[in-house]
Amino acid sequence: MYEDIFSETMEEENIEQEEVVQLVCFRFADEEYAINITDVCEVIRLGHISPVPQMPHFTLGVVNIRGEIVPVFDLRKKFGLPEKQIDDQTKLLVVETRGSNISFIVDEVLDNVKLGVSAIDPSPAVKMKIKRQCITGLGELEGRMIIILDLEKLNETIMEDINAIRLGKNKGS
Amino acid sequence: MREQQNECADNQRQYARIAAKYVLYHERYSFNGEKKEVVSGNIRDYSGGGLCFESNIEYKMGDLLKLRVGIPGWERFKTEFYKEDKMFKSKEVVALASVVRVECIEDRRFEIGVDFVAIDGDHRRALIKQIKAFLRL
Repeated sequence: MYEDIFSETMEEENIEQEEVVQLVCFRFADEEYAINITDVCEVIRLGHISPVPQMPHFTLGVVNIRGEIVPVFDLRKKFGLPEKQIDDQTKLLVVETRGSNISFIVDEVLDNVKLGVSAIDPSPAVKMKIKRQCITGLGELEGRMIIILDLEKLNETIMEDINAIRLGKNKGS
Repeated sequence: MREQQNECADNQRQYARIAAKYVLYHERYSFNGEKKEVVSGNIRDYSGGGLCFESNIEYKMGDLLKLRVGIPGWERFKTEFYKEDKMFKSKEVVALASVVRVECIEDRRFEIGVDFVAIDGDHRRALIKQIKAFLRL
């Protein structure tokens, strides 16, 4: 009996020692995605977005959040996914990457979850709605399949498109 | 050009404007965070919809500028909690603005009129209230 209690305690300690990541989950294009909670600044309702000219088509513009000017991107347009009407559930997810804030429109913000690193599999070889390089891995939690985004890589692809337009503009002038 | 001038006039009618001389920092807005030259100047007047300032840079109509302007006392009109004490440091109003008027006033000195295109809603309301309170005095 004491051996059983001892082994159960050891198992619990092993679970506690496993590295855990905390993620903010959101729904986008009928799939569930997540970003590391340490990268998420805030979730806000969609308000007025000011358009910025000569930007990639997936750039909706900017918003001013308490004095900070934050670009807004539509990942559906970025990855060629079908568009969706904005409704009450649509939110703006503001995240920090490389010292500055950017934001994405998401269909619905879900919950915060904790996942053990062992529950996260690498990005599969099959084609995904979002570029594979922008995916850190797939997490499984209580029957839910959660696609964990690599925010830095996602930001890189966005900036590549923006710089491509800028360079194209400079060549023309 | 005429449409933009009319828009400026509309802006003037929509928002009360007051003359003031406060320090402003302006730079061309960079979407990808690229560092741009920040220049300081003085504003001539401002409203909830835009402002007018002096610059030695000849901006073009439609240029997008990031502005930071220190307007004393505006924060007490925000809906956020506000307490002014010895430790208090006033924040600047930060906005993205579009150039709607450029007028040469001297050699290499220009008067630039801008409309706010991205300003925090609460900050705009605070500016409007501050101006109304000032005009009532």
